[in-house]
Amino acid sequence: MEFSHFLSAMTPFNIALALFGVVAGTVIGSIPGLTATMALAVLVPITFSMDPASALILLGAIYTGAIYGGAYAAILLNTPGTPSAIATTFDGYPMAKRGDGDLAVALACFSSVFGGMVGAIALLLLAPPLSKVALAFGPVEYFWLSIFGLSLIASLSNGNLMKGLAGGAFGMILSTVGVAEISADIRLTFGSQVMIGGFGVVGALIGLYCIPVLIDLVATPERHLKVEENVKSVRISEAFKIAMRSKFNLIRSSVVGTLVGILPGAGGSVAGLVAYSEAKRTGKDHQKFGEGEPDGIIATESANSATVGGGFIPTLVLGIPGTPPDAIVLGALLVQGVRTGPAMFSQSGSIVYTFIYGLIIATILMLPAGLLIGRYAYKSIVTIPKAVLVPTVGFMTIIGTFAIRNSVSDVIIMLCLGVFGWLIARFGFAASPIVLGLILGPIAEQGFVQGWTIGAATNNLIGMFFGRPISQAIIAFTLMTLILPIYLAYKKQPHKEV
Amino acid sequence: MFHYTPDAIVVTADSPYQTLADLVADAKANPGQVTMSGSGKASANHLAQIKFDKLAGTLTTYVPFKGTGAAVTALLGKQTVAEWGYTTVGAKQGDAVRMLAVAMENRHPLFPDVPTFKELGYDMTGGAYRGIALPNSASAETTKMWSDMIAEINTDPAFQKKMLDGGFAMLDVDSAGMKDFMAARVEEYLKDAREAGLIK
Repeated sequence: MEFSHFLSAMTPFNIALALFGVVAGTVIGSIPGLTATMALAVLVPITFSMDPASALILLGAIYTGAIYGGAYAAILLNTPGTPSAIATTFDGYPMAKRGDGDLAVALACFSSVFGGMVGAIALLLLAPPLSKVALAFGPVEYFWLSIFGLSLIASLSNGNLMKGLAGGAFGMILSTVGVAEISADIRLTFGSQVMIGGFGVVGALIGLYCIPVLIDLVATPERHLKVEENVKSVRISEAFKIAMRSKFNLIRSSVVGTLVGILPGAGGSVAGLVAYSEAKRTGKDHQKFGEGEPDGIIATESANSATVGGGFIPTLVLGIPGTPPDAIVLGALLVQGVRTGPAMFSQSGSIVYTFIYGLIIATILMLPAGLLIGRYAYKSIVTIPKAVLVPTVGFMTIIGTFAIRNSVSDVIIMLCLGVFGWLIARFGFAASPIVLGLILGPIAEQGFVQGWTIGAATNNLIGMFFGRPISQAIIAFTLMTLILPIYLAYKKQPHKEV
Repeated sequence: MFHYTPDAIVVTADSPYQTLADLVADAKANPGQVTMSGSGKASANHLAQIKFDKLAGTLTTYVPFKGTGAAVTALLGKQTVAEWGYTTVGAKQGDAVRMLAVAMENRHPLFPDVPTFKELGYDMTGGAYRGIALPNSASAETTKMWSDMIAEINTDPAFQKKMLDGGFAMLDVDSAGMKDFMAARVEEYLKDAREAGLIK
């Protein structure tokens, strides 16, 4: 952890790479359909000719930018640009609708930078001990974690508990279509070759979030978002003040994000969800969440940015990708001949530390770059006439969906889901529970089947599922999330009689 | 084919199983209770587990995970007591794990202390094989050219050292010998899979 590594990270080339990476990542991440994973996969060949540290810095910067960029579309178009920004739509879009879109974007930038820094510092100082956390999470813990996630969906459905649960269940059913997680059976394809691929998360995300928004934009004559006449730059200091007031929320959400990022298989979407739910549960104004509460954005954006640094911990220490983009980074490292694993910090220490400092620099650079790009993005989305906005976004969604698996059938599925999503929205069903069910379903199934296999083999089923300390903590959180709203509502009633 | 990763049984460094015999004894005393993680269902790891159970007369429980990375995490996190992995796992995880046996003809140069299954009385060699494939439409000359090129790379001592240091094992099957090689593997895998009930 010597200072010399910090100096190697500060070379003009590396700083230029960090800046380029953050900008490229932000732009790609903001386009619905192009995810962080895709941004990395497309840009990774550039790194083959670089030295390992610079390659890592570029990839880390792209990843950081992409996770932040996902917030733009989430706030301004109610469509998460990347799955990690799903929870940002909860309060981001309502804020945009009432004219606070630029405030939301600036808040997202501050929170992302803070979260990213917490994640990167955890990586720098605590990587080896924190990697043990990744090891302690077994199949059963993942199962209960996804059940917790599904309970969060339900509790976040503000009054429409049944509809939220129905949406989540439907999403889980969608996730079973295709090849099964563990047993590799083919399910619910009705003999069709196309359906063997199942419902991809990104395609469903675009379909269920973006298409209804586009249909509504075409259906109504008003402008998409209110245009404010005041000077935009004032909002940056306003956003900063709001962020400073919610220091505890910022710190807690960043820690949650780092921890969730450490768990291989759980990514920014889960982190954002958990952080949001905790912020809502402990916040002063429970009701305001979901209607444009700044604390909501602070929670989700800091959490999902913290997964960047957190995800690198198991990637570098254990050689196991913490989040999907980390798998691409692992591949890039392999091409460079760098071996990850326990020996990495000692054998290739200079590469690792230079990279981590580079990541910190990239996160810091995201502040000015992000605010600038954010302001520009907000201005363009707000001032573009709908006649140009709708076709452009529609075109990008089709390209984005097609690009995932080079498959036209994916696009058709996306469009069908989109129309379906618009129809059910008229009955009060939101898109988030369905998409979250789709994401969490496979995690739950895998955890359950593996846990059952081990538990049945060791004749310890009950102990397996209910006897492990981490599982018990997660179950406690789940029960608290489900019961607390009911209990609070019950407590309010006697006062009404008086 | 130019290399393969030989199957190996991997346990954590602090595992009570010091030798393969310990694991076999535990499996025989408690049928079904020895849990072994592995990558995927009906994969190289799974078939290795089936084959070993047949040869040793034991009944172990195979727990499939998504890829070797997840299987190793499960082993290190003590979710299972052992892992059906490869020599590369032993190489990568270093002192954190101990390999009980490797499925090779002779001991791997990187692990002179780890016996082969054959030495311990179980006739099994194999693992995950890797090679180069060409489209069916490639001409005979193109195929031979590629085959010779790969064979030549395989003779390069620097390349060999890199492979061996990573835990891989060298293997040379050229384009002429592929047909018989594949036929032999297919016969072996199908037989084991049918006996284990994996396929009808």
